[in-house]
Amino acid sequence: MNRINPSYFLSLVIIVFLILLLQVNKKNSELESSNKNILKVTNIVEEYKNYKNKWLDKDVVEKKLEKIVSSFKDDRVFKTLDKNLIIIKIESLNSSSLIRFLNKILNDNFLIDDLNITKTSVSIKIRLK
Amino acid sequence: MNLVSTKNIRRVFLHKNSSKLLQKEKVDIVLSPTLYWVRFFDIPVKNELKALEVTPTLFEDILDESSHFSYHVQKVGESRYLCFAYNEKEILELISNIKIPITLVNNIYFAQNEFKKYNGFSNKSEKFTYINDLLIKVPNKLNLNLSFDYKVESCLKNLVFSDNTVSIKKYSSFLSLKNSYILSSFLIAFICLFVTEIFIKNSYISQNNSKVVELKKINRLPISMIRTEAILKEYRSSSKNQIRIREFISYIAAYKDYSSSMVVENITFNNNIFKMNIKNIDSDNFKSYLNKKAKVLGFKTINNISIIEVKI
Repeated sequence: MNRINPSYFLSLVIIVFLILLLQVNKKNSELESSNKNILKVTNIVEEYKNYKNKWLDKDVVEKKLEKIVSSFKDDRVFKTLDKNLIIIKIESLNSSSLIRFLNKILNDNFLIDDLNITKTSVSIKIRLK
Repeated sequence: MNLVSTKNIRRVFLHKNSSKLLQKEKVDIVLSPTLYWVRFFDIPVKNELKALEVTPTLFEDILDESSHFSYHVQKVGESRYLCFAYNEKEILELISNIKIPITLVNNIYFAQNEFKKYNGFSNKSEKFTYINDLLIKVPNKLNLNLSFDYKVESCLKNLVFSDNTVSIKKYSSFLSLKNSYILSSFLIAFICLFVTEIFIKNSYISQNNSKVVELKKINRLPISMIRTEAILKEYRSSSKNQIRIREFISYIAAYKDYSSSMVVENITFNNNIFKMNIKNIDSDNFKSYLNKKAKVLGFKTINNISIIEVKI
């Protein structure tokens, strides 16, 4: 006779059930949001890496410039390296050489800060940061 | 055996004319013989449980609707049983009538089992006595010469209750006990499932969080996402600007298709401003051509050389 009233027990179980149901729903949305967040972070990381590696990595930029400069052995090419800046200048009396050089620079991922094109030279400031 | 102390629990003799109590503490109730039927039966079974199964049929001769009654059986000898039949609904109604909340009822006993040490007792005008080991109410008209004069109130105080309590479904019949247990079990199973699910999801969330921290660490991203977003915004804007520079130079070069005599003397670019010296062009035509792509800040022509300043 001293047992717990089953209706009280059932009410308690129902309350716990409802609380946990809400918790499960909350966790579902938290997990969904967490999954979305990880996808977002992955995309951001990819984009960040892309910019960092292609546009701003000093070694990568230098290698690409070296490759371009190596194909202009007959022309006078000057290169100045700074911590966050590379200045490259080509002097040539051959306008097609200048245009080819300009095309190669413009078709690659360089952050051009300053540009000076004359009939006999092309000078470009490339930013690294 | 009671786990809780039964000391100081009020004792009530429940009968059809019981008066209101307005009880606020627990009570033990002793049922008057007028509230149940009791008989001895010889039943050739080994235990009370088996005897209980056949008890309803044994009361059929005296009870109109035996299905409305509940039964209680006590083994008193080899194949001999003391059988009780009682109407739960009637007892619950009487308890309710005397204003005792059902939750305050501690235990309910049959008077048959509890008053054995007295030959009999009286309650107001009613008299009760044991005849052939059965406690019965003595009819008022029957003038028996009874040798006792115990009042029920004084008897109740000195009673030592037996272990034979009356099983009464004290709770609402809205949901039967069996169904409430089934429903509870069902819900408890779900609760267990939910708890497991919460643990698993917490673990996934924690794994994701660690993964995010690791990704940021490996790729040297700022810890704060706001800072990262700001940097990316700057990179995107920078990238867009670079594309615009290239598109504008390509646009200028494309003018050669309209004016083959055009000669570019000089082009400089700084702070999003292009300055150009161009020979042999139709000034108005070239100006409107530039306006389609950029904002012309300055345009003058001296000695066939156009000096142009444009913001992209």
